[in-house]
Amino acid sequence: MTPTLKWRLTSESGLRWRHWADRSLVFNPVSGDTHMLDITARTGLASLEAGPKSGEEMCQHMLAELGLDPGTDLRLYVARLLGHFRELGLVEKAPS
Amino acid sequence: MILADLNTPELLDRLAGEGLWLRTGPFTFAIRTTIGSVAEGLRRLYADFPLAENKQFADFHVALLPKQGMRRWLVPTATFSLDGLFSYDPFPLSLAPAFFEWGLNSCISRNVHHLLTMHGAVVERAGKALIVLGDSGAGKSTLCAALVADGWRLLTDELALVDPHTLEISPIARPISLKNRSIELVRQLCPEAVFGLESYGQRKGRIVHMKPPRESVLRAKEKALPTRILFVDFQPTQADTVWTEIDPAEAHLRVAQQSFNYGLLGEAGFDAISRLMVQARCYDFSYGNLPSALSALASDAFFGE
Repeated sequence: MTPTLKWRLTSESGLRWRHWADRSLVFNPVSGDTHMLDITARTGLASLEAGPKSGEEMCQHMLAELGLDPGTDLRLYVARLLGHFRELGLVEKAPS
Repeated sequence: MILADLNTPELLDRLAGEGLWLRTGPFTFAIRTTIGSVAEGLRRLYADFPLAENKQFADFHVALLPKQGMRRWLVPTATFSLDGLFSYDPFPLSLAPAFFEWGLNSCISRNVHHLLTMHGAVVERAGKALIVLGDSGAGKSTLCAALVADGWRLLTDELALVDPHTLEISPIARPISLKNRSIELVRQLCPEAVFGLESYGQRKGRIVHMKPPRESVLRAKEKALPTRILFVDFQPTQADTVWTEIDPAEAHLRVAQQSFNYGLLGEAGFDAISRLMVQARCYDFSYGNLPSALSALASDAFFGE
């Protein structure tokens, strides 16, 4: 059976955040880059601070955190989000 | 002792010999040159600046010297060096006064990393410092010169030096750089101001520097906390001055873009600008008329809470 792919932050020391009304800035110590995220993307990225998660686990976390209808399908959104985060060097695949 | 205490032969003698040890804010420059236009620029623009008497240590040893060789008979050129290393390709001798100022700026922006450095002007009045940022040619220095003529204290025209821990800005109060049409605008607005020699470059056009007010130079140790940050945009056909507050998250990224060493400072830079966004409100500030811009910045509507 193929193990579920999980994602983790590239920065072992975590990320640095500054939250504003509807947007947040995050500093990635690994790349030295600063990124601006809306609340949905922020919730997704912040969910990985507690440890590696699969895309499905991120969806569940985001639904709960954002108070969305449990039936909302975030899978495509999260897949794209992880693609962006990976390109930016914020996340990487966690060893299985 | 200040530079004006030297007579011209003494000034030339120091510049050609052991160097002129000049203090500008927190930095000491040991300056050597045999180029007359640079010496004249120093005499006109730096008259009020203190000289370092204790010649034990200079932050930067710079030299502007005519380039030797056969080509000097065709196109006279000069070189700028820092600590004996050449920072630029040789440049036309006619640009020497401007290159002197740019060279001093680059000494700081390339080497000073205990401070967050930004490409921008800073002025202060009643304890409230205003940082003026913008792309090249956006009207930063024009507005800075007008504010200084209006009684604001000059902290810097080109390099904002922010302490990442306290967010205080260290003054350097060096001459204000003006280009092309802004030269006439500022000359009309400040007829009593002293200007250096004009340089001309194909890329930048006409360049001249304006002498900083004596009081600003004398107060070079008084730091100031910024309360407003402007991203200026000069629109010559615009009669009114218009300003719009910028979301702090966006402003953070735009301030970081204007910094020379944000990336180098890493987390300390991120933290400093994050706190700066709490302390200072940021605006897009569009103007085409200096009296209107000065009036806007003097109003309670702008500096009120």
